Amino acid sequence: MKNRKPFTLSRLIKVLSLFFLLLLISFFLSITTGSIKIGLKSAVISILKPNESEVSKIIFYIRLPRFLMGAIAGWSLCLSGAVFQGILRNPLADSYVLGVASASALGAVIDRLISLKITFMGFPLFSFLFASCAIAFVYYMGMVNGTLNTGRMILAGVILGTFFSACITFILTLLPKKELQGIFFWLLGDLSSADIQDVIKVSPWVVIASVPILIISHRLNLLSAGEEEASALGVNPKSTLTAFFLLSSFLTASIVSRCGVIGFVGLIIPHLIRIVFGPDVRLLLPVSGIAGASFLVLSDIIAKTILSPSEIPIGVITAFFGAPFFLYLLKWKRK
Amino acid sequence: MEEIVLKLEKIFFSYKNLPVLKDISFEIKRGEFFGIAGPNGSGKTTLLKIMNGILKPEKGRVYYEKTVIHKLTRKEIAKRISYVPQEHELPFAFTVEETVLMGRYPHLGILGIEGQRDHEIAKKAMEKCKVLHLRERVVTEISGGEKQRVAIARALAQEAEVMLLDEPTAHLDLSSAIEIMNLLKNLQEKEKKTVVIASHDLNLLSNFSNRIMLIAEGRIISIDVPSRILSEDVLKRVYGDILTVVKVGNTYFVVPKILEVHRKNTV
Repeated sequence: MKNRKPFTLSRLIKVLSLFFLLLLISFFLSITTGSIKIGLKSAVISILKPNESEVSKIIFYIRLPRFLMGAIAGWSLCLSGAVFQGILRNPLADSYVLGVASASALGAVIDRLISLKITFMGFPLFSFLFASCAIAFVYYMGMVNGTLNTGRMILAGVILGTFFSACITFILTLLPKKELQGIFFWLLGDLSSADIQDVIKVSPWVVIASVPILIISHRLNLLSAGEEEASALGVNPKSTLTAFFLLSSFLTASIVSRCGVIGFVGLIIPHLIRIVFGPDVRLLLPVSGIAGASFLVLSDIIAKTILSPSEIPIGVITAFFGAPFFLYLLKWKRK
Repeated sequence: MEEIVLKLEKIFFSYKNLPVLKDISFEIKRGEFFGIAGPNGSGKTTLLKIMNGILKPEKGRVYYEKTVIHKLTRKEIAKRISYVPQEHELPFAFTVEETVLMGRYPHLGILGIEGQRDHEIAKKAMEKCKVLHLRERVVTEISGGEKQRVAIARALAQEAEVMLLDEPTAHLDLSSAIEIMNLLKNLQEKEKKTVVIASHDLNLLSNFSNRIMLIAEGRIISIDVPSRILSEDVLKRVYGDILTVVKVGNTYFVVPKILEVHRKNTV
């Protein structure tokens, strides 16, 4: 983009408030649409003055949690996607493409299957373990003679993701039929079952992972110049890379174990934001997060209205948008 | 004032089992223009990376003034030594100004946000390197010579006393190469920088350097003033008996001997 000024706090605040406005719009759309239509006016009244009415119940028990979960998931997926793109120096990376999302899902399925329920205050440890092992493995596969070949790494990620999906399918065939539908829906990415308990459990972990990412984000700018240049500029590449890998796997795991695999959001949104506002991650990360939150909420509105009264898993909607976009990037937009 | 700013002591280094540097010891004086010359694969790049602590030597020590370099953090090193690698491709479309501002990183606080002063320093660095008019251009869309000047401006924004540059003229045409060398000479003389350049171009180095270190196969062949490095006897030990030295005005140049033979035959 021409005439782009370098990063300043005031520019960040300006751009962010723009996207907060978008999020606000998607909030009102989200709480008013669904199988029962709620007028904007009665929605606003019941939010400002909660009462015992039907409308109020629908908003507080169903639509608000669903909006919050969607927004949190969108924020997390886009933040982790943008981080993966920065550390791998490749705009085609995200937790889905790198197999990290499938790894988290497999971790969550195994956890459910053997009823370990290994969680720490609601944090899905098993899912996180799988996610961080996956990213470590994919990184190892991409290293050729000490330099990172991102093409190889993404290929390894896609293959690993497919392998994990096969593992999940295998496990699903062992399950009794009545459990199957629930897990199947969850796997494809689903926000319809989100309740306020889920939101309360997930959000602290998302905050714990997001805050350090945002604080050390400037190092990602330097790392995108390569490890050696980053270290000549004063960044310790090994510890910084490890921190980013762990934090973004952490984010992915906490979302996937609740909402299933919602692909491509973390790819599309950071990419579009980068085209419009430039690659400086100090702006890119928070703006992508808020834009991603809005995007996911809007996708969820499509998911719940397009075949109303039945619902489509949100992962299907994002894949419909995302897969063609990914292919377009791969063929026509690579430099 | 002949203070030693960088000192390498008995450095050994190998990649896997292939020895790259063998028993390298030398010192760099404050404010000098120091050339590291040698054929491709002689270990120049590795040596530069060891000098700023990106690589750790197997044996031996690197000192910045009196401190062992590995006792300093990356940020502390970056405030003292800047490094311009041979190839620097940014995968994302940063502007020239954003790129130069990255040089301020070691001076920033925990949140990594530049202040007024950082913007001024970056602007001055761009001015000195004659890239200020390109500040809003994207680094992926400028010429090779311009990219090199941006990289030097970023190193300058680091405000480090020592600048290490790896083949800064390798991919450039002759006029851009001379511009870059003049710029670096200017930084040495006016900004009091200590400039260390690795290059295989002996003629370019000898025109600008105070001293040249000639290395081959990871060993030091000679460290001396350019006029004494450019002698047939010294060069023979590195390149074989194929080079000769001619003097034009006050300057020495290396030329292939084959030319001499060829010239005699045609005359």
